[in-house]
Amino acid sequence: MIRRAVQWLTLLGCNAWWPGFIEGRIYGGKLKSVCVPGLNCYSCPGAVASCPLGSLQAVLGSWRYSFSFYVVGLMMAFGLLFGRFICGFLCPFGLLQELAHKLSSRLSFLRGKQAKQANQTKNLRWRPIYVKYILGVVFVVALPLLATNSMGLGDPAFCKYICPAGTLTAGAPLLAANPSLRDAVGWLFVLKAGIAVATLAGCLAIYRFFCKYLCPLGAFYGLFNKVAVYRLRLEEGNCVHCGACSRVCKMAVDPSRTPNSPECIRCGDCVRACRFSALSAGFSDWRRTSENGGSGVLRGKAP
Amino acid sequence: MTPRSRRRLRIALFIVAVAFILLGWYRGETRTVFVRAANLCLECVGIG
Repeated sequence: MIRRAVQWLTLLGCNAWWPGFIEGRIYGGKLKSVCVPGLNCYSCPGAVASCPLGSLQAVLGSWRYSFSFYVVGLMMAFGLLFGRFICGFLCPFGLLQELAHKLSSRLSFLRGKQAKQANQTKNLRWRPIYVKYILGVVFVVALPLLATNSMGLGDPAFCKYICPAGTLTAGAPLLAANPSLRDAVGWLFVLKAGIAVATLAGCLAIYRFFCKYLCPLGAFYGLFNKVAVYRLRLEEGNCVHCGACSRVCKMAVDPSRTPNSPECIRCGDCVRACRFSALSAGFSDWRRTSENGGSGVLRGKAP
Repeated sequence: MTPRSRRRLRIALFIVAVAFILLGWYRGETRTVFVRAANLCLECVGIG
């Protein structure tokens, strides 16, 4: 599967500094001044570049700046090119969540809960998907910018109090390899470890629990789904509204109504499920299925 | 939104994004990012 291969390559590429895992320290090369598109903690021992959320908080929390043109510009450029394709293909923490969910689908007692949760998520009128926007505004922007100490420095609040990616991919390996860090563990690590465990538990029952409800980076990229170069195209003439696409969507999107919903992570499951060639995904607006004469290309019978 | 207006909006936003990146680089924000990322972030790890 191409998507899974790209996800693994991204995970390994973003964390390619292997000596860090053995020595219990992080990479300090010049690449660290550049952000990767996905959520990948820059304190992970293998990380060769920076996390956009951490970088944004670092700049906002410094005494010199009250806005980060550099990081916001990079995030806008990523969003305009890819939208939430980044979540589906280029986010290392997204892959970890999918692996956790896949593992849980093999546990028989969780299968019923997964199906029940999927139905509940689709039926909710007010869905907790908006929590990630609130977390972004409060913890990524407001607290680092406004809650400063006497020297004018703000803590990276999202990284410090919430981010499970930092705890799992940076904290756990560093503490395992570095005894002096283990001695410094306190209540904050207990809090963060609790959030990380709760996130993993959430991922067992809900597909991409963190992406759906908690990730401010995904929320930001979702705003660009409607204008991003990579997009989902719906050929309405071919759509028979059979519902196959919305049934397979694990992000609770109905692609036949909102193909470029902010929640769509571009996994492509709906495109594969559509037997009428009504959906396609790609990097431009110009190619259209109506080039086929608008007659539609049937690949099977409607259910 | 028509494809044409979408393309125009995309181009306008892309110009803004590139301008932001260059302005941030000019202001020295890359140095702040580098200093934070090249040193162990105790908050991220859950220690400090």
